[in-house]
Amino acid sequence: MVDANLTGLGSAKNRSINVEVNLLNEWSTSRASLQIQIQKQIFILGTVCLSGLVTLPAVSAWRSQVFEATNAVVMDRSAALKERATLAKTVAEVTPSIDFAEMRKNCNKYRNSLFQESFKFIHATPASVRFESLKVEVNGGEISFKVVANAQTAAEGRRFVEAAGKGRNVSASNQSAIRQSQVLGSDGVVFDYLKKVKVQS
Amino acid sequence: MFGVGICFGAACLFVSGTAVASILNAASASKDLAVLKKEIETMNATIQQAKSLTVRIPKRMNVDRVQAVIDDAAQLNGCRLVEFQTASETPPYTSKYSTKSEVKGWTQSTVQFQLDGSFEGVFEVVRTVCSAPDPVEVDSIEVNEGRTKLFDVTAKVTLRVLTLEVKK
Repeated sequence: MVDANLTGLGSAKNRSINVEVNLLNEWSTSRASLQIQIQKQIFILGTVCLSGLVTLPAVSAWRSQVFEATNAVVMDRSAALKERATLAKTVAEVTPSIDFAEMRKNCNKYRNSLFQESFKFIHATPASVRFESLKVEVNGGEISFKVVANAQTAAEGRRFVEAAGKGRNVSASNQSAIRQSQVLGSDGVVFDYLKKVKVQS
Repeated sequence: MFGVGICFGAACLFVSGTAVASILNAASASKDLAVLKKEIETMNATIQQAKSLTVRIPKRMNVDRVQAVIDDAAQLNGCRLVEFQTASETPPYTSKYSTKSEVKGWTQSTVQFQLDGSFEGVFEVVRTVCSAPDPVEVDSIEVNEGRTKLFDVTAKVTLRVLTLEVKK
């Protein structure tokens, strides 16, 4: 059937929409979300405070320990500085004696070296050889023996040169000149001889 | 909340920072202390060494005493001291026995003397001089045939008497 009235128009129908707005549910969801946020923040705040309250005293205690240890080291250093200053005075007083003793020791060593080499040289001289002159000289860490000697024969002279030239630190042993000489016999010779020995250090 | 966190953080940083600074200071002090301890050890060793010394520095002037020693030794060994000369200059000491550079704090005065006597006697005199309390280095011993029949040889000896410089 057509829904119309006399004017041709249909009669107005009363329509209604049933909207059920659940405001409570909305509010409760939003409240729950807010509560969670607040709880989270309270938890974080609590954690921060707790960790701060735990960490700070621990760090502070550690710092105290460090300070104590540092103070101990610094005090030790000051004590050591004082001790060094005192000892430096004593050392300054005794240093000349030590230097002197060291120099004496060196001089004794050099003396022994000189005499040992000299006696070795003299003991190497046979009875058939006689010195006209002997010069023992020290320079640049070497002891040199310069000799002008007479020998009964040239062979005796050579024997002396061979014997005198032996030794551990001999750096030179030269018979530089040889001439005839009648001083120790008709076959006699006179010769120059040079021996150099390094000083043992 | 952030403010609280920052406060705690800043406090922790401050405390830790001062502690770290203290640690660095302690490390530096420890390093110094180690060096100082070594120095003290060396100094103590030097003092101990000085205590055990048997040699003492002579109080009189060296060269005068050396002349007296030569004179006595010459008489004792049947020699005659003919000539004695000392140099007026005292240059810094340089050893002729060693190739090392000059030793600081020492001076040397050259002494020359001439002896008449036996060969052994001359060497004994030189040995006695070298054994005197003063440090002595022999430069040369020149031995020639004696000028008189009384003595076998004539010896010219050059040596250096070493003196420790006095620090002012």
